[in-house]
Amino acid sequence: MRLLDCNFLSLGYPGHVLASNLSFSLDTGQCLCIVGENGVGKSTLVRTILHLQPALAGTIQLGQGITPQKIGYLPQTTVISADFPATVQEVVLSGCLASCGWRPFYGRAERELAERQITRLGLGDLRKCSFRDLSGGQRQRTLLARALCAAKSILLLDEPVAGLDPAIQAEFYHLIHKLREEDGMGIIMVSHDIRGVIQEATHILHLSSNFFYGTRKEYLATQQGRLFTGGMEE
Amino acid sequence: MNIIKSLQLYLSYPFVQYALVAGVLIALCSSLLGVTLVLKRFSLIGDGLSHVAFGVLSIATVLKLAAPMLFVLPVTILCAVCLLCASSHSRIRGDASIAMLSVGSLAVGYMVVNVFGSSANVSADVCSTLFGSTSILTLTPLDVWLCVALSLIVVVFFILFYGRIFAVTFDETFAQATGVNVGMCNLLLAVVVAVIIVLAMNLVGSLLISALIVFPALAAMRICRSFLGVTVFAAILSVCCALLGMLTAIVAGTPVGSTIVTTDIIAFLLCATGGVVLQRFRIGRRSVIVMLCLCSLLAGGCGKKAQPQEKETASKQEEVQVDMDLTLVNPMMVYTQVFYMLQKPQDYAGQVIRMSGTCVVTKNRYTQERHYNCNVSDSTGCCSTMIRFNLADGILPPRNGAMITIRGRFEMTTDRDKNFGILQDAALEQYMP
Repeated sequence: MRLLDCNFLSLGYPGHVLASNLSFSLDTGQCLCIVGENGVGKSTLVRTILHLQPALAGTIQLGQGITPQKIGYLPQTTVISADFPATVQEVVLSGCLASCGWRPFYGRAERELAERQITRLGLGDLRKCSFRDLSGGQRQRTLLARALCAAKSILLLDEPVAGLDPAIQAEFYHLIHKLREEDGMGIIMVSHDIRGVIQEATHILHLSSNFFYGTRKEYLATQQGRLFTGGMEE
Repeated sequence: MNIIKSLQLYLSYPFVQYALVAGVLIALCSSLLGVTLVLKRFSLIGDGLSHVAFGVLSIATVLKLAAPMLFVLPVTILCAVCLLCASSHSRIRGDASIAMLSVGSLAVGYMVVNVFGSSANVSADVCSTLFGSTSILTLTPLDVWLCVALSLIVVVFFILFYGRIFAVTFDETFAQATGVNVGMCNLLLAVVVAVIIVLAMNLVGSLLISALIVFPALAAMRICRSFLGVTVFAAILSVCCALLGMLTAIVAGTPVGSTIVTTDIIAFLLCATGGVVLQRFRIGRRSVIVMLCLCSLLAGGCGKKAQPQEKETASKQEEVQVDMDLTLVNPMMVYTQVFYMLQKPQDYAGQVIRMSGTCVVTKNRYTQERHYNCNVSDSTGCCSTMIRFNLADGILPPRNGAMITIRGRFEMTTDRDKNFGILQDAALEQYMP
């Protein structure tokens, strides 16, 4: 099933175009990785997909029944202050805000959903732990659980493995893989960890002045891909 | 026993009751918002906005506006909105813009009062607005009702928007992505913060508002792990500190604002210690909270023991019937009471009053008649007011500047369509030239 379709998208701010004529799409079970150097507009693309800022041109079409609010979003952990007093439960529950609508409080359905995501990501024992006492990997899993509460079928991960040690990184990629295989979620991932990304991605979007979009295999065959990955093979 | 007696005496004054109600409500509201503001890295916004309010209030005073609050509130709200909503994109970032606004309006306000001020006592006005030395004790019932209504609005706002406030505070981008109207939330927050700060200026003065916002939140963060816990703990702590601080201030005659803040500081230190103990020994949080309660009780008890004893009643004058003996209460309360008596002389007409103060002799410009006044000031000496007295026949008038204790009947007279109070048939009980 088609989850996301972007056609001839132009990104940037009025008077400052970062990228233009981007076309790509995402289906169920696919993993699209967005790579590129700093300042080419990766974060702007993320914001545009989330509808936090308008596209300068082109269209973003979401699949049946998906609204921009139902895209599960995992921001860079650096955004969140490390001394925030909140339990894992509270953080995960805040992902259910979209389904609350105009109700001021969380209902039973939201609490159950949050509880399911906590158990699923193995955070059950940490439920009452404070976010500031968690390790980097546990934090990332908490934020992923929160994203899953909001997500219908698309997950958007912004630098999900930055600052994590290799073992935790591998564990995280495994988790993403499971979500893709078992739940058929479509995953969009922005990353600088090109080696990890190549393992996991089905498709690659390389942002630069002449952007590339295609499958992993196609990407590795291009000049650009070989340069960026340091000549990795299939 | 003495303490309890004097507390009872003080609590019987209506203005003390008003002060307690207003103080507790303001402490509650500022602590609720404080948690969010501290976590959003806007700890200094209280400082900045209160200085803005001070500057605007000075301008309003100079312009002689009938209802200065109607002018101060919108301007402060505007500044709050500018600070909270624009900081993510503006060229001058959060802390710098707060610093600019804060210092700028303080300077402009003080300048305006100095250059255009019509009030005779500029330093008293400034001192009162900045440090709020007595202003909470001079609230009118209308002020108290306004305070109750606004605090109710703040508490309801906080409860209804609790989930959204948490989301916006924790991670603004994610909240926005899940469809929370972040701009609207920040706007509402800014408005509420501005309202609370203008309100709190009456309680602790503009310099000390930051303390009311910051200390309970920071203290709660040492102890509690969850956002809900921090919010509830901060609210309770803030209310307790405000109550304890105000009672201490009233009994000991210290300035209300600084006493509340000192209590807050002590509470913070206790909580910080509690937090360290919690981490070091891994004991249950419940026991730490119980320990804290015990500590505060102990501290409260010690503090009360250490307080200066009230002056013993002069026994030799016991036989004379006095309705209100202002020599029994501390200078701040005397000042406040006299302030009220001069505001509403009709309420106190006919009462026999004993008071001590400085004798001030004035001369009527037209009739060349001499008037004798008893001048009282609060403990910091920055606010003072005086009450005129006519000595009973046959008593030699005291000299200007002498310390006197007088006893007289309070009456209302009218001079050029203005009501004012005067002590008639005054007797000079003590006289120190």
